[in-house]
Amino acid sequence: MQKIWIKIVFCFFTLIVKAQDFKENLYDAGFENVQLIEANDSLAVFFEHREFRIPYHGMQLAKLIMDNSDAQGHNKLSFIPIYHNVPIGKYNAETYTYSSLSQLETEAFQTHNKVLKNYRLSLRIQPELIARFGFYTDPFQTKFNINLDSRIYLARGLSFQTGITVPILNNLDNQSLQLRPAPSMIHYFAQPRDHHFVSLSLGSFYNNRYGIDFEYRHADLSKRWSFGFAAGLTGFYWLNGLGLYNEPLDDIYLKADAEYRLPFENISFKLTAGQFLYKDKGVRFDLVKQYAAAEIGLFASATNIGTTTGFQFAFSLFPGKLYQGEKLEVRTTEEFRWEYTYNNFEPVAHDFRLGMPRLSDVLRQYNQKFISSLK
Amino acid sequence: MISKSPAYFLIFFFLFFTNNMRSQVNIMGKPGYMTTPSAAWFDGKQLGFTFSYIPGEYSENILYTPRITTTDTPLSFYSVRADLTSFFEVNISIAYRPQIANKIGVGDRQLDFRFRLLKEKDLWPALVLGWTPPGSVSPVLAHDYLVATKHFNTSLGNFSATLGYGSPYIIVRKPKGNFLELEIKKKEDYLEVKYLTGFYGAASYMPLSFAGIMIEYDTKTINAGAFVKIKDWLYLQAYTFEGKKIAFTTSMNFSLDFSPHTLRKYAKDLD
Repeated sequence: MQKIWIKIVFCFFTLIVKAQDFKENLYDAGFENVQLIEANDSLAVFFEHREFRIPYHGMQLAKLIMDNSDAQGHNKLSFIPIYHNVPIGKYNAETYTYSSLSQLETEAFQTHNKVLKNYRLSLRIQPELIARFGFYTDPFQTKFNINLDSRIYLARGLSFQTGITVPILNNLDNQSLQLRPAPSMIHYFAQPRDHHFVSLSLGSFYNNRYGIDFEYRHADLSKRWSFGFAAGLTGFYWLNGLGLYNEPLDDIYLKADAEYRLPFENISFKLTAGQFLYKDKGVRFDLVKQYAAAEIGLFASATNIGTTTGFQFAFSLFPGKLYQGEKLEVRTTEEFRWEYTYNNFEPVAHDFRLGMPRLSDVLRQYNQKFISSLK
Repeated sequence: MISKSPAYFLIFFFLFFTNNMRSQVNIMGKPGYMTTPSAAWFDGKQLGFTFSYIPGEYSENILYTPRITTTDTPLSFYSVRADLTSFFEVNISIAYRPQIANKIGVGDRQLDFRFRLLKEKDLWPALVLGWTPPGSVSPVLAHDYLVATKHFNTSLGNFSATLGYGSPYIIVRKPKGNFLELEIKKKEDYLEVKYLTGFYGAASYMPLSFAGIMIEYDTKTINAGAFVKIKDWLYLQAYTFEGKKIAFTTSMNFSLDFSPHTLRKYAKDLD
């Protein structure tokens, strides 16, 4: 009898030690905020991996690490990817079936979510390319900057993003090549109820806009439809080194969209309508194709100002991780996105970037149908 | 990624299989020969970048722009190709004339679609419809065509044969008209270009695993050349127009379904 007890106690301790090892292995491989929730024979792995553009690659890497550690033996393994310190959903490690988090899992996450302790300082290299083609005197007008920035988590879902902009080349406008602060903002992201996401940003953004930006999205990640609403109050700003010029905060944008994922080929259609930047009212239609390594889209817009068509693409910059230590990592951006519009004279259906993907672009990658198509 | 399960062997088999697939493109980066497009489809290579150079003497054949008086200058194409689905492909290209860029700017920007109507079978050729969506007031590079291609893999090497028909008409948007104010014009009258109007044909022969030769009739001239596969994703092509002037094309075509570097490296280190 005593022997059995000794065995049970021994097994219990080895399980804890193994789980601890697995957690450390994950952290060493670039995962952050790793939490393991064990119940009976199931294991849920919470993680954030900021280097990867799509959560599937984080799950793939976690699986590889698990297969090669002693932490096996759970019948039911699931992953709970975290984005900007918010758990998005729970995915079965075999089928990638999505489900929302249980009350227990949400509470466990809140208990162990130590925002300062569980993350590295992640320095990100984010290039910015603005180009205008077609002027006779100078066919390729370009402005190229490298932004070195970081996101620091302050509380659950609350983060601060800032950095410096290193201008490399500019024959597009007369902004100087002095170093200047990169777009810097306070950002709050949350999933207050299952399938409902909100994102609020306050600060300076890309495309010379500053102000406040709000996005809401209803997306059941096992379904094809999702709906969004976005609004912002912004103004123009311009930095030459530390010299600031800004115009008043007086431009309201307000738009709603519906997105539908086709039953095949990872293609989504999205229709956005409302008031865009510069009080431009109209519609924009998007076709987006998702690949494991990139996203490519075509779009067409018709507004008060005019019509245009173009394309966009997004991918993670090679090589990803440049340096990774216990408390610091240096990496290239998880998402470099570029959009080309045919009409380069009129600002048709203009939008601005936040320095992180827009909610619809983030959540599209978490759709169960996309993830399970990659396996 | 890398484990010992049979599924991964299948993936490797598939990679090996696609390695043997040819990815020759034409001047505008569409699957094709020299100037002619074919009905080939690059399964598993969803993205392509192409650069082509056409000598001045023959650049008018491809792109004659009525508003420019001196078009007999060298012409370069920069193109991008993307497969959005297994039956729908998009091509975007810029026709750049470096010698007169200060007069004409970056050059004509072009958007084309390709639709795969039939997949190639043992006895049946592949069939593709190429279409330039109307909307330009000056569609100088509009190409609308229907094309069939068949590959023959023999012990003497791999052959391919292509037969296509290019539309002799183009759809022009009326100057200052809106998107729907279109008119149909005869290509030969409007552009003074005979390239890709009517029946065209092409053939290639690849006796070596890394190189081959090709010949085509593009409805204006007969062109012939050679291609070299430097890497599975990198092709070089050099060819002549009527045996007189040399043009070349270089293209890169690869998959977009790969894993990030960190993941690949981790998997590799485990082995």
